[in-house]
Amino acid sequence: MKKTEEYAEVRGSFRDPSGFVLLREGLIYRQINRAYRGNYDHLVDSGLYDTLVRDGLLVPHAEVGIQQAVTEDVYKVIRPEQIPFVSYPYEWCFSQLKHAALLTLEVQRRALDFGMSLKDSSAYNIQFRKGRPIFIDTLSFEKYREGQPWVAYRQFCQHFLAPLAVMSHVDVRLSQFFRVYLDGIPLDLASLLLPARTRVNLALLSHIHLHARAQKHFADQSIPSKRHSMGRTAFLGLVDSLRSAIERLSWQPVGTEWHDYHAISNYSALASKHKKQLVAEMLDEVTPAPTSVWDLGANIGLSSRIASDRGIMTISFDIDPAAVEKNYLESVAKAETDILPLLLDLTNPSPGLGWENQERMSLVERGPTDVVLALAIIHHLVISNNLPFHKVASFLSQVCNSLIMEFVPKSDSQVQRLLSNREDIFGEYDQHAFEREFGEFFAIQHRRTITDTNRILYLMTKGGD
Amino acid sequence: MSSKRVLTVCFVLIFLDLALPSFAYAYLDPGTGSYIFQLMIAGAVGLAFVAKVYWRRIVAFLGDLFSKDRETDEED
Repeated sequence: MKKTEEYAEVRGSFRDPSGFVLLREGLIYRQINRAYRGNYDHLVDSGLYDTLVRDGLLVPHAEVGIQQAVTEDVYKVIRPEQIPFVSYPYEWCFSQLKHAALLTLEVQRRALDFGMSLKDSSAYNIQFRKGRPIFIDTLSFEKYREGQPWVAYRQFCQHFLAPLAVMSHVDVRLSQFFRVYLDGIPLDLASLLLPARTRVNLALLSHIHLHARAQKHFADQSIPSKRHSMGRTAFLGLVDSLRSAIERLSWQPVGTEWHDYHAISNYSALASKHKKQLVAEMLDEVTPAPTSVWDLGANIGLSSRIASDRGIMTISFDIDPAAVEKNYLESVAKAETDILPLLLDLTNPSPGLGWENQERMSLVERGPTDVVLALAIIHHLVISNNLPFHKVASFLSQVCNSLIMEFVPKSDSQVQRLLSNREDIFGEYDQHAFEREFGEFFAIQHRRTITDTNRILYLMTKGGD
Repeated sequence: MSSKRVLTVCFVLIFLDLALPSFAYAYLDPGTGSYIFQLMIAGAVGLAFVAKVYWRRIVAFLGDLFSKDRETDEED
């Protein structure tokens, strides 16, 4: 963000001449420039804005005075409803990206009914709010010109169809292409990766394989004259064809390392119940009462729900795409509003991306959170990833104010499993060293042994010795 | 379904059209290709859409018709 004394311009929004997003006193505002006046007025006056907001498809906003403006080119300034936690497509599971795609197409379909169309269809226009995807870019709408093809077609294919197709037909981990290709997966690359059988799928044959060929073939040609046009029915047909293609793509959350964690965990029913009770007690003890929790290594979100069921906005992170998928589908099935499952490799968390590394925020920039739950992950970080206690404590102190952490001693069968195929070079892996190193960053409030185990649960607050 | 056959023919033609020439690596915005490609498939996707809408109407009409028949039978 470009910071001045009064405001910070949110860097991810600088590409659009229609306006930009700014942060003032912790609140997000959007300045609408005069160039966008006609489109904004049409969005509101036609009733499209009301329809989309009523049905939870578009983020609602309030118009505020233009004294909040940053440049003289201002038409209006709006304050959209704040999104508690900004997430990105490389952090979403398969179904989150699929639901975001279907939302984008639904917004486009409805926009046509009101004489408007989306001028871009970036996956970054979608955020998750109250458990469901929502369109956040109020300035993406432009008046529909009869005969014009969809200018956002290429972007839709790159941001949604191609990633979902390769996740479905090749490997779900390919969602990480988003980290490299900020404007979505290039279609020639998707075409190369997709198996031959996708060429007998009419939708994938056309929207990816042939589309990629057309991009190469016509790259050095100019846009054809106005006598070539695409009627409204064809436009609706295109949107419908994309919707069918997206709906048919699927992925089953099986076959990954952690998809059945509870079958390989070593908790007895008694231990599991006691741990849940202790986490709940510690959460209730945190003051002031937390409004945000990050559960790191959440698996399918059992512990996350101890927090989210208390109405605390909980981000439920896990490294495993299958666990995140199951967690998200459960949140959808139960219509949960305070939990957001996300994909995260804690040893390589989302970095700042894009121009000047500032268009997409790093994980650390999106913190700190009130409480981090770090349950049953310390042995994976220290023993599987050779991270010293000191480094783990240092990172956690950057992202939270309070920490509920489980220490898993070397005698635990799960630690023994990790050590079974490697040399034990972790002489310092014990409770004493753990408390000493974490004590440099945190003050230990409580330590409680979990019944039926030799594991210890800690409540710590930031600020050490 | 005949509309499927029409679609298949359209796509085979498009495929042939694209497959024959040799390709140069793009250094311009590939948006041009996406734009033209939409114009090329416009007829096919439009036709498929119209066919789908009418098919749904026919199914709904027949559904209505049969459910009315059943109601009448039950009343008898």
